This record gives sequence, C-alpha cells and structure tokens, in this order.
Amino acid sequence: MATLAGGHGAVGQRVALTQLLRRWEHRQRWQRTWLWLPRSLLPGLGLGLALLLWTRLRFAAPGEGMLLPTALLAAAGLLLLLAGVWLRPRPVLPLARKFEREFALNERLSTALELIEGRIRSSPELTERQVADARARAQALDAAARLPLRSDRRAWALLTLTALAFGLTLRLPLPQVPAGPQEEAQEAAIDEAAAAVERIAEDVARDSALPEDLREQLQRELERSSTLLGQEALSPEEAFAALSESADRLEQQALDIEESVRQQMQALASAQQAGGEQLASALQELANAGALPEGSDMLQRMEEAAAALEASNPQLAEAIRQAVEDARAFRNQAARSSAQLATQMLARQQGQMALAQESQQRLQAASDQLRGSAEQIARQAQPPALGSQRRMQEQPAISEMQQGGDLSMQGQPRAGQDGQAGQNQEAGAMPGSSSQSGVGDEALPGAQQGSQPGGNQMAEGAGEQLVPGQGGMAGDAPGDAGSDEGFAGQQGAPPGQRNNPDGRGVGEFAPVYAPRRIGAGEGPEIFLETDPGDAPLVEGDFAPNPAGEALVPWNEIYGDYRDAASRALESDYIPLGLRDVVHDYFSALEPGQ
Amino acid sequence: MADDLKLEEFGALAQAIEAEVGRVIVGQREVLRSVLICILSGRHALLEGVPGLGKTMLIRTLGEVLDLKFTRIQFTPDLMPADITGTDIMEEGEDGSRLFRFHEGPVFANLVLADEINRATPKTQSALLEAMQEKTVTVAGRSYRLQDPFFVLATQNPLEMEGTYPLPEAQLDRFMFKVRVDFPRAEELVDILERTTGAEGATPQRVAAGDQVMQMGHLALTTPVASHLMEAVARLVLATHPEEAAATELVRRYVRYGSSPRGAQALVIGARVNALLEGRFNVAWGDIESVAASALRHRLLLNFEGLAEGVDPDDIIGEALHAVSRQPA
Repeated sequence: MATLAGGHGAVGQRVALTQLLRRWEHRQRWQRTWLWLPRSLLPGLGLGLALLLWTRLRFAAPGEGMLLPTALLAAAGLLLLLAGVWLRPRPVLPLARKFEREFALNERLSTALELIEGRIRSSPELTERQVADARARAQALDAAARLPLRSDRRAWALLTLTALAFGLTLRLPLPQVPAGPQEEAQEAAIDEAAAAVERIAEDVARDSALPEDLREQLQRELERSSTLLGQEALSPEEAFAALSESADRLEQQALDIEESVRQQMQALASAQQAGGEQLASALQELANAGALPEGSDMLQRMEEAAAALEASNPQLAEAIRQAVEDARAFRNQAARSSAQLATQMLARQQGQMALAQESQQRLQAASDQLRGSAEQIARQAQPPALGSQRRMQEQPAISEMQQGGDLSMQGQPRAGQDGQAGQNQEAGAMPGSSSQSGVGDEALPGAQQGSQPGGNQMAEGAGEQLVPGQGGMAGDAPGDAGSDEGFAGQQGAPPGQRNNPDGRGVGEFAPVYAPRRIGAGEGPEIFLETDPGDAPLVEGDFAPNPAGEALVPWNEIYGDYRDAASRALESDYIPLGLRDVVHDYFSALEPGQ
Repeated sequence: MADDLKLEEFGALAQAIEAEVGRVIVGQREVLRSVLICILSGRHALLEGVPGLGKTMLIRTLGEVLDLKFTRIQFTPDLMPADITGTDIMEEGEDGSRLFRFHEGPVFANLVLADEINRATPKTQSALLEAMQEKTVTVAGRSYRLQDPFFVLATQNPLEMEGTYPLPEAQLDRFMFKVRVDFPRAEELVDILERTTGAEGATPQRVAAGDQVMQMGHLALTTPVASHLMEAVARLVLATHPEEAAATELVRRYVRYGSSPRGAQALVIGARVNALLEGRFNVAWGDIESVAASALRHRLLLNFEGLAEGVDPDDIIGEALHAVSRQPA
C-alpha cells in the first residue's frame, strides 16, 4: 500500500500538484484569450460592417447609428470568448491528463494523482518515487515557454482591416449622397434657411397689423418649419418641401391680405365716388360745425357713401348715416359728435389699410425669402458630377423660378416659359441633348446638328407633327428631350421661318406631348438626368430597329410603366419633394389625357 | 532501504543484461527488449524470422547471461510429445526389480528454446501447452512441476510453409509476444561478420541469476498504471474485434476475430516492464504503443480477404492504436 495515499504527505503532494496544474490552466486560459480575442471580435465587427454597408447603401442613412449595435455585437463575441475560456471548470485529473499530453509528461501527473488519491495501487517505494518524479518533472517545466501568449497575426490583421473598413464606411461619403463640401454647403443652406424662418417668425410675432388668429396660425406654421429644418439628417428634398410649404402659406396670406385691402380700398373708393371727393372734408366740416351749408347735397352724397360702405365697414357707414340724420334734424351737437366719430373711424380704416398693406408686403417679402432659401438648397442638392453646361441649363430654370416665385413644383404655369427653349439651344452640345439641336436646326439656323439616333428620331418626330404621346414612345430620355425642344422651338420660331423637316415652309404643329413639362407641356419644367455617354443605355435583347421607330403602341405599355411607378412610390425611396412630380408625370402620360 | 536498492538494481541489471547480450548479438535491440520483457514477465515469446538471423543465438546467450538452465528442442515432424515432456522408462534395480522411472524431457529447464516449433505436429506442439500455461508436465497420470523460472522461447520460419503445421490459436495465445526478427542492416551485418568469422567468438558472462530475474519481474508488475490507460487498453483490444462499434476500418474489413483478453494482459504487463526498463516509474501510453504490435499481432485472426491480400496485422494494430489515442480519456 502506498505510504502517500491518505496521509499528510499525500495531501501536501496533491495540493502542490493541483496548484501547479491550476497555474498552468490559468496561463493557458490567458493564452487562449489572447489567441481568440481577435477571432471573437471579428464576427461582431464583420456583421456590424455588413449592416453598416447595407444601411448606408440601401437607405443612405448616417452610419453613426450602427456604432452601438456593432459595439454590442463585438462585445457579445468577447463575452462568449470569456465565458468559454474562463467559465469552464475542469477537474484536476482531466486537467492533468490534458497537460501531460501537451507537455509530454508520459502520464506521470495523472498516475501520481491517482496514486495519491488511492485510486490505483503500487508498492510504497514505487509510489513515492513516482509521485516525486512527477512533481519534479512538472516543476522543471517552464510554463511560460510551453504556453506562450501567441497571437494570431492573420486574425489581428483581419480585425484591423475590418475596423478600418468600418471606420472608412462610417466616414467616407457614399456615392449616392453628396460629396463632403457639397454636403456642407447643403447644411449651411439649410441652417441659413432655418435662421431665416426664425427671423420671419419673429417679424410675424411683432406684426400687430395681423389679426391675432392669423398671426398665431402663421407662427405655428413657421415654428413647424423651423423645427423641421432643425432636425438632424434632413434631406434637401425635405427642407425644400418645408420651405416651399411655408412660403406658399405666407404668400397665400399675403394674397388674402392684399385682396382684403383691395376690397376695402374699392369700397372706400366707391364711397368717395358716391360721396364726392370731399367726403373726408365734409365729414370734418360737419364735425367742426355740426351742420353743412344750406342747399348742399353733401348729406345726400354722404348717405350714398354710407350705403357704399355698408358691406366693408358697417360701423363707419352707421356713423356717417347717424351724422347725416342728426344734421338733417338740426341736432348740431349730435351731428358734430357723429361726424367726429365717423371721421375718426375713417382715419382708422385708412390707417389699418396702410398697415395691412405693409403686412402684406412683409409677408410677400418673407415668402420670397423662403423661396430664395429653398432655391439655394435646391441648387446645393444638384450632383457635383454634372458639368457646367448642365448648370447653365438649370440656371434659366432656377431664375425662372425666382421670377415666378414658385419652385415648389406646384404645377403653376408661368409666363416666359416657352422662351426657355431658345436659350436651351446652348445646351445642344451636351450628350443626349443633341435632339435639341436637331430641332433647333429648324427653329434657329446655325445650331449644331444632333448625332444621336434617339435625338434625331425625336427631332424628326417633332418635325412630322406627331400626335401627343407618339414622341414619348420612342423610348429614352434624350428622345423625350428632343421632342420637348421641338415643341418649344416651334413655339419660339419666328413667323415665316421654315420649321418643317422637308423644308416646305411653316407647318401647324399639333401640341406634342412634352414629358419635361408637368401636366403635358404647361407645368413647370423638370430636368431629367441623361446618360453622359454618347450611346443611349440599353439592356436586354432588342429586335433590330435601326430607324428607332416605335414598335409597340403606347396605350399597350402605359400600364406597365404606371404600375412600376406606383410600386416605386409605395416601396422605394422617392424624395419627398418629387413624389408629386412622379405622380403627375405618369398621370399626364395616361393615354386618355 | 532494501526496496530502493532493488528498484535501482532493476535498472542496473536490465542495462547489464542488455549490454552483455549486445556483446554477442549484433543489433536486434528491439527483439532483445521484447524477449527480455517476456522473461521478466515470466511469460513466453514466439520469435518469427528467417533462418540465420540469430534467434537461437539470442536465446542461448540470454540463458547464459541470466544463468538459467537452457535447453533446445528442434521441432521436426517426427518429434513426439514424449520427446519434449519426458517419459517413464522401465529400469531394473540392483535387486533385480523392475520399475518405471520418469526421465525428464528437455522441457524441464528454465529457458526452453523450441526451435522451428511449427515443424512439429499439432499433437507434439500441444505437449507444450500444459507446460506453458500450468508450468506442469503430466506423464502417465502423474504431474511434474517445472522449475521456476520457466520460459519457452519458440521460433518459427515464416517462409517455409510446406510441411509445417501452423500453431493453433490456443497455443499462439499462450505466447505473450510474437516478436519479428528482421534482417540486420548493412552496418550490423558487417559487425556480425567481424565478430563471427574470427578465431575467437565473444563469450557472454553471467550477469544475473534466475531468482534475480524473478524479483525483477515481481517488481516490474507493481509499476502503476493510470486508470485511463487501463481503459485505453480495453478500448484498444475491443477495437480489434470487427463486431465492436469501436472497430476500425481495417479491422472490420480484414479481421475475423480480434485479440483475446490475454492480449490485453500482455499489453499491460509488457507496458509495466517496459516502463521500468525505460527508467520510468509509471506506465505511459508510449509503453503500450511500443509493445502493442508484439502483444497483438499473433492474436488477430485474419479473414480470407485479409489473408488473400497479405494484410499485415501490424498495420491493423497501428490503425487501432491511432484511433484509441485520439479518443478522449
């Protein structure tokens, strides 16, 4: 029987061996923690990167929102690692077997532990020698050298790359959102607009000429716009829509006030016409003297003026009427008082009208200012990749909006719109807009001849007086633009100039559908982006169609386009300010229109 | 500190025995180690090798080094059991009376070399069964006990199969190890030539006595074996049985019947002795690996496919060892 088993020596030997094994285990847990640390962080970080890419590319959302989920995912991986490495208890004997395999200890430790615990038996001498040998061999081992803190360089490199990719994805601008300086300019424009809205709100609050309920209504509207403009990650379209809405509201109020003042002025003018030009002086005289000269018909005229003022200012009318009655009844004192009252009311009305005019002007100015801000935001939202030519093309449209005071795409026609076609001939050098030149060749001699098939086709289509909708069936945007310019060019052509493709004088052009115009030719002009390449972008298998003629009747394929647009409106991300445009566009395309 | 002395003496004696045998036998270190393990375990060994490889010389030298009574029996087809065990011979006494007196056969020795054991008939081969297992010889109804230590070291030629009688499984199972004696390497062959072709040959010296050998064996059998190693040995033996779930691919394909429990015993005993011979005080998995082939190769009964394809049992054992070593303890 072994002398060690169950004795004090056995306890000491067992404790010594157990402590040694636990130290190795502790060291190995650190080793595994260090080794698996990058591997545990990688899945979470990788998943976070994937989510970040998805949210940014799919929704163009700011990436900061993915920081916390990514950190949580990485922390979850780390926790799993720590739990797997540190929270897994291992009994001493299996631990001994594990380490004696790793350290080539030839089952010395497990045999010694079993001998100490009495699970196996041997001669006392062999038992003692075996346990001593096992302990000596184990203590002679350099655990730090046998269990070095190795790092997985590949995993660390991968983790670093993933973190870098995450950071870059977070910081770098995405292709579908504006570049940095432009984004900053947009933000500055939005901030400026927000400040303008606040200033206007303060002005409205101070404007005592406005009725209380109207002032509160305007303040609420402006406050809503201000709150909206102050939101983080506000898109230019949303800012544009908010500003346009506020500008419309202000303009509408200005128009209402103007109409009200105009009506009052008309009533007053009618009263003055009825009461003679000296109504004010007559009232003043009556107020001073209490009576009018004998034989004067002023009382009759004043009575007629009161009748004229009955609708617009019944109190004034009543006061004048009372003064007339008192004067006729020779109640001089009462007539004087009534005339004085009427004089005061007349002066007050004139003053109120003046104040209302001032308010109307202020509101109109504020509306213009908001529109200007909206236009500024719209300008900043234009992609920078567009060339200067495109800006030149857009500039007339913006200036046109500035003149018309309507950038909100409300579909209101404005004067001078047809004249844009002549200016746009300059853009004929742009790819895809050569059709303008093709038409312009007829409309304005000397313009550049287009070279694109679509453009030529549309130019030809315009010259052949296509019925509405036929030009649009040709397909691509350049062709559409060509037909539009053909229509505009025809309208802008000087009388007597030949505009038929066959060169036989001036033809009567039917109003060709112009898809660039909301509402089929009379709405505000929108600009579609064209392919910067020379060739039109086509995909799929197409039948040979060198002439580019329409092969499918429009009314047969319109439903597909309308359904696609409806689906896009319902599911895809359409900028707020453009949803009505898309809707109106396809409504206008409807064959029955 | 007699125990300490014995333990230390074990290593010294083992080294001395191997060194002294090595003076006569060139190379064949593994063969010598295997045979020594069998002797120290008090069990028997079967040496298989072509003639002329020094099998007989090795065993004779061991007998001389260990100071054991050595006998050699050349097995032939006409060898009779009595030629091995001995027989009663009628003798006439001085007074003229006649009586049967038992004349001991060559089996009555400490170290019996059964040379070319597969040349004798099964009847004669079986004459050794009782001696090997019971260490007794029964002749004419009377049993005679063999002296201790008693070892049978048999040899057989694997090539000349004509006119031979392969040992039955029961007898094979009584050999602890089946040791393969391989052809010596070139440098060993040169050494053999130098030693054996001169005028003087090396004469082995006595290093240990029979009782010392027995004490060494007793001491070696107390070498502790960890419980998980015992379980591994059990799994290893079970893995040689094709019907077992733990059987390996080669076992399922080529083995008709796996190792007997004697194989497991041989594994553990051999590993215990090997551990002490290695200077270690406990059995390691490496000890089991080193004796596994010798302990199991003659205990695997190959099926027809295995025999036809000439499958080496050592390959099957190696695969089983690998499979068991990968299993968690």
